Amino acid sequence: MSIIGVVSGKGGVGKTTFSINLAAALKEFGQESVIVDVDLNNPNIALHLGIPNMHLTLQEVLSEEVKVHHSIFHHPVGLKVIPSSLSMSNATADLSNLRKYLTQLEGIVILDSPPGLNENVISVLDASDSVIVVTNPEISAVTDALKVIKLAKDLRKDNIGVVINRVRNDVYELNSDEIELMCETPIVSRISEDSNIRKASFENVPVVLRNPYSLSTVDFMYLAARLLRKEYEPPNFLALRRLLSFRG
Amino acid sequence: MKCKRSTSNFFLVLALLSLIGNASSQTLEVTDVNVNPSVVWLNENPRITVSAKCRYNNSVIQADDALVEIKSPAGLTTTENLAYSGGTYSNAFLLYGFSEIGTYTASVTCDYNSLTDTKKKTFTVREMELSIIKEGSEIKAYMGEVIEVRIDFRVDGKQVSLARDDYKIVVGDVEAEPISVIGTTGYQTISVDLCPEDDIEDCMDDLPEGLYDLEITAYYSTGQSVADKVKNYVRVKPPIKLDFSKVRVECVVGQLCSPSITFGVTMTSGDVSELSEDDVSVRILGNRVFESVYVEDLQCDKQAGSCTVKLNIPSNLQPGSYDLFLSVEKKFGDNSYTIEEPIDLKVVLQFSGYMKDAAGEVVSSVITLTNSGTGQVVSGSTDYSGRYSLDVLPGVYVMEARFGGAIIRFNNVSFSSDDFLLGISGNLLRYDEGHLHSGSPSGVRIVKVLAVELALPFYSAWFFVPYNSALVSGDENNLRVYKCANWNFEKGFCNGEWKQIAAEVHPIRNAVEFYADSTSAFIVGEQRALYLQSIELQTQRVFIGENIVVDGKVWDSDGNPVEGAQIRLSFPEFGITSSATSTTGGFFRATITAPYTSGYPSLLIEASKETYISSNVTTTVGVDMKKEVSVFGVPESVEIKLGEPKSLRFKIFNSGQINLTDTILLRVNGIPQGWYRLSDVKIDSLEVSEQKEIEMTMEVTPELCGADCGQFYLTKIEATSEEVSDVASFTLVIASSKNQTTSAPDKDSGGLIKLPDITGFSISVPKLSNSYLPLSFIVILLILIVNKKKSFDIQLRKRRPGRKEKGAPKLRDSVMASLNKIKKQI
Repeated sequence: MSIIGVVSGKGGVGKTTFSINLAAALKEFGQESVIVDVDLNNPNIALHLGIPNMHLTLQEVLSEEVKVHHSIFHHPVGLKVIPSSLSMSNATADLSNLRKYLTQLEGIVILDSPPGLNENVISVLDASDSVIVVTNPEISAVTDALKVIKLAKDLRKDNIGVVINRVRNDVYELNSDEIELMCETPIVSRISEDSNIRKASFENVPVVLRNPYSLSTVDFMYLAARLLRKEYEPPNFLALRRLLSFRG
Repeated sequence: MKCKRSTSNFFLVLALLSLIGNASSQTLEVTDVNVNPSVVWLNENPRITVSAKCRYNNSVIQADDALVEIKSPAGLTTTENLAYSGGTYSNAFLLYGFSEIGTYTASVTCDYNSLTDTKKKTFTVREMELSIIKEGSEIKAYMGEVIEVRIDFRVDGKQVSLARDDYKIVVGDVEAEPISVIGTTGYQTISVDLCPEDDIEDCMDDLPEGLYDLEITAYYSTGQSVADKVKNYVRVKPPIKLDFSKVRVECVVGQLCSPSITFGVTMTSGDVSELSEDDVSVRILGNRVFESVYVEDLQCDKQAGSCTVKLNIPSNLQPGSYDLFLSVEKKFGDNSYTIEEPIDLKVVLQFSGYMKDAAGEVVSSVITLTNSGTGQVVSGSTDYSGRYSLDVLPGVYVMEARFGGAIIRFNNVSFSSDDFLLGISGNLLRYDEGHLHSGSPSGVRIVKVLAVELALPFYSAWFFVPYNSALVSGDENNLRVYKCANWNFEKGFCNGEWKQIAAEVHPIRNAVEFYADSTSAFIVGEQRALYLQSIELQTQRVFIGENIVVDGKVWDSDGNPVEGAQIRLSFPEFGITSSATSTTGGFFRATITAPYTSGYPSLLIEASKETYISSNVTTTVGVDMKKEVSVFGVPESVEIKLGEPKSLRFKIFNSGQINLTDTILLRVNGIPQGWYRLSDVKIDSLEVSEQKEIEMTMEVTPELCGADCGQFYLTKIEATSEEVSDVASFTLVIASSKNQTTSAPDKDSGGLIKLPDITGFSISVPKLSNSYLPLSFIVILLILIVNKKKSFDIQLRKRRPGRKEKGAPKLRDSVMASLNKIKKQI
């Protein structure tokens, strides 16, 4: 059992999309994982995956009304999700004992953290075995990511990696070296900007499953392989495959 | 023949002569007077028989009267008639009233034909007396010992000494042997041996220890005898007597028991100092055990007449009652006598320990055990060190323990010989007061804490626990008793829930009484009350069926916010309920649906939590019927062509819960009045759920819509009365007849945006001619190579983060300067 905390500092950098697709990529390698929506104020995972009604959520787990195993939602694409309640009245749950519940799970647990540096983020960092800081190649996102990294290091988390999301590879963005020097933390992945992500999100499926030959999918597969210490070779004739598997 | 006749004649003559002579001198004579016996003993049956004959002229006759007169030496007389039988007068009678001894005269008198004759006969009356002279109520006779009995034996009033063989001594039914008779003035002393053959044990068998009658018979030389008997006079005792009346032996099961038993010894002869260990033997009998006991030592004290024997009782005895038979053998020459007496031996279980509280302080207590079957009571108390120890036989007991004012009575406490706990040292009973370090029940103000633990099985326990009424802030009758589910005695910690148990409060005695089926810690406390404060309804007036949101806070009577309190909202009149739970800080938000009846129903807000006294607040909510009008059926957009009229139909709908009686006016904003025409501009009334269709006819001519006429107009349709209103809007798209928009006509989408229909969408790929084929192949190949290379680069970068590869973008100084500034600030 391993708990990966996905944090960012800045909002809107793509933590939720990253978490979902990382889980999907891990599943492609046969590794089961559970995505836990820890963003109690603005839970988005259920919306991304089109989960209709959430009867059992993380809040019920935290209040010990249900066991953590019973709160897992099995998505039709094969992902396991513990969603968070959309109700505003449930936004005040206590996350301080989060790890106690998560250790009852098996496989990899991916915590989709809220943005910012509040107590909930500290609880996520505290509960995590390793931390992935998602940022965009822009100075504001990297600045916020640096704060989170500092916070994680203050919490004596030494297994920290940075994922640069929405990389366009143009001159108007910070490159990997600049970000790495800024954060003093290894870059573990660069996820390419991919319009298929928006489309997949609209269809409530991970892009890894919707577009297996897209740029971002290859990036997610590389990351998953790296996390699992496995080898990965992208399929040959990617462009041709993309062309042949074209879907709007 | 002649001779015979002459002889008979002669006798005849003689007879005649005789008759003649009698006729001339008649005589009456008493003859053959006899008194039998001639010696009469007054102490025996003094019966005499007097007989005589009456003769008249020498012929025995039956007289007219015949009697006898008995005359004592002192002149006392008595007369008895004599009866005639066969020629003899006689009579046998008792000498009533005569106590004199001496020569009596019996005078027999016959009367016949006026003739009287008397003859006398003397006889002797004697008397023999024997009386046992009692000395005290009884005499003690130790078997084997000679006892002395005093008697007074007299004959004719004179003391006579007989030989010892003339006496017969009987004790009980056993004849004893008189050894000697010593005459003394006034009495004789007879020495009597109860066991002449000196076989004491046989004698004791014949004459066991007890109180017996003594009968002495004296045989006089004349053959007469006299006897005397005294009832319950001889107390026969064994020759040696052991006194164990004050001896009780108790041994604790499983432990070596070496009691020293001191017992009294009474011996007929000799003294106790003659006894040695060899004379004493001890054995245990009972409970299917027959076992000899080793006599370690015997010490006897002559003056005190007691011996102390030290025994070694085996430790393998099961708990219970036994008889410890102690035998002492006393020798009589070649014979010996052994006496055996039982002593109560109890092999007991030990109920012991140290009564100390959780802080290690001694708790003074008194423990009383009452055997439920026998009623036997064993009691003990703690000493200065808190130690208590009670020896009990196996059984079921009522155990009462008093700790200061607190009384705890355990019913059916079982002391079993199979309970190995009793054989292991350690506390079996513990008591503590006032040490509750953590785990106290929420919502309870503690008045008293006590903890009791008993390691023995019991059925139920009754508690009487005094409390300090000065610590009670409220009504004492509201005191409650709580029991801890899992109490840690040493830590003073309740590692479980506190459950309220039934209890009775005695306010006058300042005590509570309750029962428990197991021992634990108990709290006597009073419940804190819950208080609802800051109750706030988001709106005081709602429509039927709408949600009412209630915010508030829950406090306890000590001013602490209460988390986890159950909040229950209800409209009791309508049976509508909902619930919520208070969170951190005692805050809560609860929602309830308004009743389906307008008015001002009472909303009951209740707060409850286990161990707290519940609280409730009632408020009223104004519930109204909803008054609402809706405009619906208006599309998102309507496209008209210049110069061509177009109709739009929509509906005005009473979507509320009450009839609309005010006039509803219809207005259109956003386009000039000349562009449209409404079928109705007002509606007088609408009942609930009633709808009215309105037709809006629009026509825009090029004249009305000049050069500056826009293409899109946001058009609003308003339905308004004095109280309600609604607006619906659509986009009016004006298309010239020549330049039509590409939008597909709206087919009453109901307000939803229709996504573009991409059915049939296709990419137009130019047909590849043979001349383009190699070129196309090259282009595709280049794309694949570039794509592969790019992915491979990314992979390498990810595998070696931080390393600069060939061709990696250079660091930009301006960017890095900016980043460093930010970094410093962070």
